[in-house]
Order: sequence, then structure tokens, then C-alpha cells
Amino acid sequence: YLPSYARTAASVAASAPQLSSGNSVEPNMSASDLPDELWARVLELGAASAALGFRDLCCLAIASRRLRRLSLHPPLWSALLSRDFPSQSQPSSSSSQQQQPDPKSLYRTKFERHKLRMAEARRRAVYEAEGRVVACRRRLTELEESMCAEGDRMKATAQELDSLERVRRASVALNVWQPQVVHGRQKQLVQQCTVPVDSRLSALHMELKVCKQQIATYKNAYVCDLRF
Amino acid sequence: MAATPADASSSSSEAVVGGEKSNKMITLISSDGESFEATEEAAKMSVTIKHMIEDGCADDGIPLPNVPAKILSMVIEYCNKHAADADDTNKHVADPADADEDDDNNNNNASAGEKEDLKSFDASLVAVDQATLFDIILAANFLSIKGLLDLACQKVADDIKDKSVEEVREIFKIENDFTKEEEEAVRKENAWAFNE
Repeated sequence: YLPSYARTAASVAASAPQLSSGNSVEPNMSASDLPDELWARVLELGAASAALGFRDLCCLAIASRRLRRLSLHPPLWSALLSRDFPSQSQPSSSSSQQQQPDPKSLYRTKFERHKLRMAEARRRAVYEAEGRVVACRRRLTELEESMCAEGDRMKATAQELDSLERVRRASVALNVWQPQVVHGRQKQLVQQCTVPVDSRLSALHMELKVCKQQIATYKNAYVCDLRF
Repeated sequence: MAATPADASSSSSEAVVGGEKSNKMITLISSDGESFEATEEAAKMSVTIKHMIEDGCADDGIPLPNVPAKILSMVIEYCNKHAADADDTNKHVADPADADEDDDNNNNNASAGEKEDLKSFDASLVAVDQATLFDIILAANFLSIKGLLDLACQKVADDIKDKSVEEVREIFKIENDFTKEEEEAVRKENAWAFNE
């Protein structure tokens, strides 16, 4: 520290007028007031502590000539390399240093390769998701059709139920005295029905229940797939 | 405890630590002529001042023509706080025999709490405008106070983080000395870092 004390004292003394303006005048402090070695220290600490990343160093490079020079300092980029791309170790032998690109270019290469890989992975993920969406839509359509068919079956069942109910009421009414006309009609109804009324009625009720359940199931699956 | 044993143990701890810890006060004089007092211990956190004391130049007060009063008082605040911390650690280390159970428990709780305390002190010390921050860096560099220098430099790095080019130029009052062509070239050269 002793040598730098002498050197810095001279440079600081040169800019002393700005520093010692302890009055109300706002000192016109700018980046040029820090000597290179102190800016270098800032960048060094920043890179080591992960406060500064590749983008920050590139911002500095664009800010001014001096900061560009300081931001290109190879050890900074070596630090970033070992932090961001650790597993890809470089040969430690110093003889190969001439063949290696400077750390910043190396960082850029690895970074762009990494970006490509990420883009690939994203495209793959989107493709797979799209596939799943198509399959889902198909299931939804099938469900809609099934529900429709079931609905039709339900309607037919309900109609048959209706007419059978009428037959049943008629056969019951036959046991009671009725005007001849009505009696005649009811007898006709009962005779025309070829189906065992009571058992068919319960079968139909059962089928109606099943239909309703099936529709409910379809509705649930539909909602689930829709959400997906 | 009686006063005498405490005195004896504290002086023996000083002997164990090995430094000559006098409570002598040192006078530091800012660039604008203001005088500040600091314990020798705190003042010696500055390697520059330490050498001056050892070379016997400190008797009439130490003039610091590069450090204005506002900055010097902050520097001294830092040194006082951190010298006390170093001292506490030394005392705990040096007096194992002296420590009773209470002390031991307090040591553990205190050092964890003290560390937090120190951290928040440091953070508030450098939570200042850029101009003052740069002044602190220059002073800490001139006075060779490594801890303060690193603290202030780290703060600048933290302030650069995630800023755009324009923001960096604005905050640090950086003059863009590129020509139009140069700037275009530099931007292209670094474009890879900014896509998306």
C-alpha cells in the first residue's frame, strides 16, 4: 500500500480542490475522479461477489472508452466463466494460453451456445404441449358425441316410459266402472301392448338412471379436459 | 467483582494480545481545518496513519489535506466501530480463564448479534450519494483502510448491477467519449449480451 499512497496522494492532491469544497457548492463528482486502479477494484469486487454479470460489464463497455478498457480486463471474464460455466474446465497448462481465445470471447461463445440449447428445449416443450392439446380436443369431441347419443337414448326411453304409464293407468282403470266409450278405448290400449308392462317399466326406470349417470360422468370428464 | 482484579486481568489480556493498547487519543485534521479525535486503536485501522504514528509524526496531530471534514468523520465512525469489534473478539479469545458461564453464553449470542449490528452499520454508512461514495473510496484508499475501501467499492458495484447504459452514465456522471462510429461499433460488439 505504501507506494500507492505516494502515487495516489499526488493524483488526489491534484483533484483536491473538488474534494475539499466543504461548502454548499455541489462537487462535480464524476467517474473520472476515481483513478483506474480504484475502478478496477470496483469491477474486481463486483465480478467476484456476483454483483456484476456479463451484461453489466457489457453496459460498462458501451458507457465510455475508459470503462470499456477496464471492463475488458481478462481476470474479470475468467471469474464470470468459472462461475457461470463451471463444469467446462479449461486446460490449466499455460502453454495452451496462446491458443485460447480471450475470456470475454470465450464467455460469449459459451453463452450463445447455451442460449441455443435453451431455445431448442423451449421449442420441444411447446411442440409436446401442442400435441397434448390436440389429443385433448379430440377427447372432448368424442365426449360431446357420446353425451349426445346418450341424450337421445334418454329421450326415447322417456317416451316409451310415458306411453307405458298410460297403458298401466288404463289397465288399472279397467277394474273400475267407466263409461262404455272410455272403457273400450282403454281395453284397446291394453290389448295392443305386447310388452309385460310392470317389468318393462322398472327396466326403463333403471335405464333412465344409468343414462343420467353416464351423462354426469361425461360432463365431469369434459370439464376436466376443458380445464386442461 | 472488585475493581483491582478486573484491572489486572485487562492489563494481562493486553499483554497476551501483544499490542501496546494505550488509550491515547490521536488528533486528525481534515482538509478544511477541522480537528477530530480518535483513539489510537481506531486510528491505526488506517495503515497510513499507523506508519505515521510509528514514525513519530503524529504528536501534533495528523493533517490530512485530501480528506474533507464530512468524509473524515465518516471514516472515523467506521474505524471506531470496527476497532471495537476487533477488540471484543481479541478480549474473548485472550481471557478463557476469566470467562464464567454467563460470559460464554453472552459471547455466542453477542458475536452473532454483533455481526448483524456491524453489517447494518456498514450498510447505512455507504447508503449515500455517488459523490460522497467516491469521496469515501478515495479517502479509504489514501488512508489504506482495506475494510472500508472494499465496503465502498462493493457498494459501487452493487449500484452498477442491472442498470442500463444510459442509467450508468447518468448515475456516475460518465461522459460518453465515443465518436458516433465508435459507439455504433462498440454496441454491435456487445449486442450479444442484450438480445431478448
